[in-house]
Parts: sequence; C-alpha cells; structure tokens
Amino acid sequence: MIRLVNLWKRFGRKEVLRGVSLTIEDGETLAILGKSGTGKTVTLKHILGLLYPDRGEVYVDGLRVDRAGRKELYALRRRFGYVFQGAALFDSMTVYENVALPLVEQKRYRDEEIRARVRQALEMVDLAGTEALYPSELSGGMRKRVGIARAIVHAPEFLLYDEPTAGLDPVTADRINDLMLNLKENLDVTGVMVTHDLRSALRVADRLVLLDEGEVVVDTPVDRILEVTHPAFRQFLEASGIMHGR
Amino acid sequence: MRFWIERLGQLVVLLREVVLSLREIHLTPRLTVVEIEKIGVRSLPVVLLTSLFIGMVSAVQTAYQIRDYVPLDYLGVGIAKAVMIELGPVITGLVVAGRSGAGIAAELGSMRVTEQIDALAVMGINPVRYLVLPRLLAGLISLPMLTILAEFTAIVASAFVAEAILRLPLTLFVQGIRLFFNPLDLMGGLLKSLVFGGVIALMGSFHGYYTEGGAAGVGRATTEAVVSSSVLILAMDYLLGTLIYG
Ligand SMILES: Nc1ncnc2c1ncn2[C@@H]1O[C@H](COP(=O)(O)OP(=O)(O)OP(=O)(O)O)[C@@H](O)[C@H]1O
Ligand SMILES: [Mg+2]
Repeated sequence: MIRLVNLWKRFGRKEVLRGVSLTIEDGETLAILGKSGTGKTVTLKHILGLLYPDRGEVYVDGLRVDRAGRKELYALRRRFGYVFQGAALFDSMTVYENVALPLVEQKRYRDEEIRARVRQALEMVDLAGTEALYPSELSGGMRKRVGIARAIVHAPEFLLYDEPTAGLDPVTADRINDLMLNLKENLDVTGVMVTHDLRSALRVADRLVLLDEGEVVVDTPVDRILEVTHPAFRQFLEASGIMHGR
Repeated sequence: MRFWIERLGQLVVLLREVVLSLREIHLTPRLTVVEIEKIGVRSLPVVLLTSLFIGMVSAVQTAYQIRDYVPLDYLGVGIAKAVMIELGPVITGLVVAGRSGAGIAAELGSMRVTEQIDALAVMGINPVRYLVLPRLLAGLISLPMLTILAEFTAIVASAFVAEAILRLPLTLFVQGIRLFFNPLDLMGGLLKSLVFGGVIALMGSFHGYYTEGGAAGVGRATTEAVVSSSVLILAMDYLLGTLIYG
C-alpha cells in the first residue's frame, strides 16, 4: 500500500503541492489526471524519495519513505519500476544495456537470465530487434517504450507511470494499455499512472484522481465518474469526448 | 546571500555522499577507467601542445629577464624550477578545467535535466557512487600524470630553444638542473596537481549534478564549472604554495 499524507512542497516561491493526500491499495491502479504543471510528476517523485516534502508523510507498506535511511530506501526502490515522462534512457548505452541495467546492478541474475528477461521485456513493448541501437537512433515513441521495458524488466511489485501513452499513436497506445492491464491483472502489480489520456485511464485504472493547483479535488472509482460534479473534472470529461455538454 | 549559503549546503551534501559512497568503491574501477580515458587520455594532446609553447616561451623570456644579472648557465635550473613548482601544475590544471571540467558539468547536467539521474536512483543505484565518484577518482589520478608529462615536454622544449636560438649548450642547461634539483620542487608541484584534479572533477560534478532548468541550465552549469574551478585552482595554488614553500 502506498499512502501520501498531506504533502506540501514548494520550489522557490511556487507552492507546488498544497496538502496532497492519496492512498493506493495493493493490486489497485490509480490514475492521476490534471492540467500541465499542477504537480503530477512532483507527486509521483515523492513516492520513491526522489523529492522530499516540506511537510507531510509518505508511506509504502508501512515504511516512512521521507524518513527512511539510504539502505531501506534503496531496497524499497528496487521493488518499483518507474516510467519517466521523457523516458530518461541513458544515452551512452544501447537499448539492451539500458533495459538490462536494473538486473545487472542487482547482481542476483545470471547472464542467460538477464538476456532472456531483456528480450521478453522488449517483446512486450514490440521492440524486439532494437537491442543494439542507441537512444539517439530511436523515435520518441520508441524511446518511451524502451523506458517501459526498463521499468518492468525486473518484475516490480509497484509501477509508477508518468504519461505512459503520451506521444504514441493510438494503436501503440492501446498495446501499452493492454500491457499495463495485463501487469495489473496477472502479476498483481500496484500502479500509479499520471496521464492526460482519459481513455487510457478508464481502461487501466480502478480509481481516478484529479489534481488541480497542487490539491486533490476529485477522488473517484472509475465506474462512478459520471456522478462527479466538480466543474474541472466535468470539463476534463467533456474535453476528452467522454461526455457531451449537459 | 541566501543563494550562496544554499549552494554551499548542496556542496557539503554532495561531499558527504561522496565520502559515504567510498564504501562501494570496489564497484567503481571499470567506470573510473572510462573517465580516465575521457579526462586524462583525451586531454593529452592539448596539454602537451600548451606545455610545448610554455617551454619555448619560457626559454626566450627568462633569458631576457636574467641577462643583465645572472649568467645564462643558470637558465635551465630557473626554468625547470618554475615549471615544476608553478607552471606545470597550474597550466595543466587550467587547460583541463576548461576541457574536462566543462565536459563533466555538461554531461551530468544533461543527465539531470533529462531525469537520467533520477532513473539511476530508481534502479537502486546511488548516482553519486555511479557518476561522481569515478570522475573524482579519475581527476585525482589523471592530473598528476598529465602534469609530469607536461613538465617533461616544457623542459625539453625550452632546452631546444635555448640551444637553437640562445646558443646555450644542452650540457650546460642539463648540468644546471642536475646541480640544483630538489625533490621538493617536483613533489610539491605534483601535490598541487593532485588537488587541482580533485577541484576540477568536484566542481564539474557539483554544477552538473545540481543543474536546474533545461538546456539553458546545462549551459550555465558548464560555465560555472569552468569559472569556479579556474578560480579555485589559482586560490589553492597560493594556499599550497605558502604551505609548501613559504
Ligand atoms: N526540480 C524543480 N525545481 C523547480 N521547480 C520545479 C521542479 N520540479 C517541478 N517544478 C515546478 O513544479 C510545478 C509542477 O511540475 P510537475 O512536473 O509536477 O507538473 P506536471 O503536473 O507533471 O505537468 P506536465 O503534465 O506538464 O508534466 C511546475 O510549475 C514546475 O515548474
Ligand atoms: Mg509531468
């Protein structure tokens, strides 16, 4: 279980998070929606101690992340996969080396096993055969998918997706949606996805949260979204073509 | 003011991380070799070229400076001492600061703004151990070696100019050096270069590691790395000069 309690975070003068509280149950996938610049990525980064709150608490399975020692923190991070908004591939490494790195560094795997897992992860994102290429030789959407392969290669218990389908064509986006759904349902992964893509959120997530100006203004199960009255949320539904006018 | 205190705080945090990551130093040899190649080996041409000219100009100008009150027989020893104590370490330091200090800052800076540093942390890899420690070790190893080669080149170049242009026989030039050679000159200079190597790698890493604000931020980090390491090299030169030779 992931639990964020009343998180406050400012950068310089800008108060980016203003009391964000969220709970993600085991096996559940939560989608975080919201306008650009409302603190979605910042929220996600708090879960793994990539950013620390000015105020508030972060818990994962009872561990207080924002107070954790380095050993506990690194052990915790290895149970996570994180899909970065901009893929964040290492440009000095090939696709293969990028995807293999989480396994290589954990030192628990034999070479053949690493090769097999990397191949499998790349197949899952339709990128078999790109092992020897460098990130600079890939398109934006391909980079994104290598980022997804790298996040799932070590079969993590938790997956954090920062806009996993942004910049993908609709067909590929659907493949990624299927993949996320599959991970959730068959491997029991607990997930948080940040997205602008409501279709993807409705397909994969169990619960939606709308973040606005650093606050959670809507928190609803997916099957009850039509009951939500918050104007910003209804705007979001309308803009996504889910709902037409009133 | 507050800005500078914050910067200093960040530097202390980074230094502390570096010291803590020494426990994992056994994991760094391979990465360090790569950095030695970048910082040391690839700086060699420009360092040797600069020292060649420094040696040549030293011969001509020192001869001019001393011609009315010191016999030319002492030219060799004068130049050798200046090169070993001061010119070799400082010129090498400044050249490498401009080349590799900037390179380190640009590389780490772009890794920061494209979230590659976060990606390392998520994999449970300590970014300071993985990125900063190898560069620091490489700086400490490379600079004294580059400096020795630079000093040798400069002294040989000055000897040739002395013989060819000033008509000072090579034997006299060498004899002077031999007669007055003091190991402290060489060792003190190499100690300086060790410190300069640390300064260059640390300033490059520091400014790169804490880069903010996209591509413009990377540019700023690069400039700041070069400026701060150049100034620090000269300041440390004075400090060490006073301690060793004062
Ligand atoms: N490291 C940082 N330093 C300073 N400001 C930051 C930092 N990270 C984020 N911010 C600011 O915090 C705000 C929220 O950023 P965040 O990246 O969370 O937005 P987002 O909701 O993910 O938007 P998008 O959909 O465009 O990705 C922005 O105004 C951003 O400028
Ligand atoms: Mg974002």
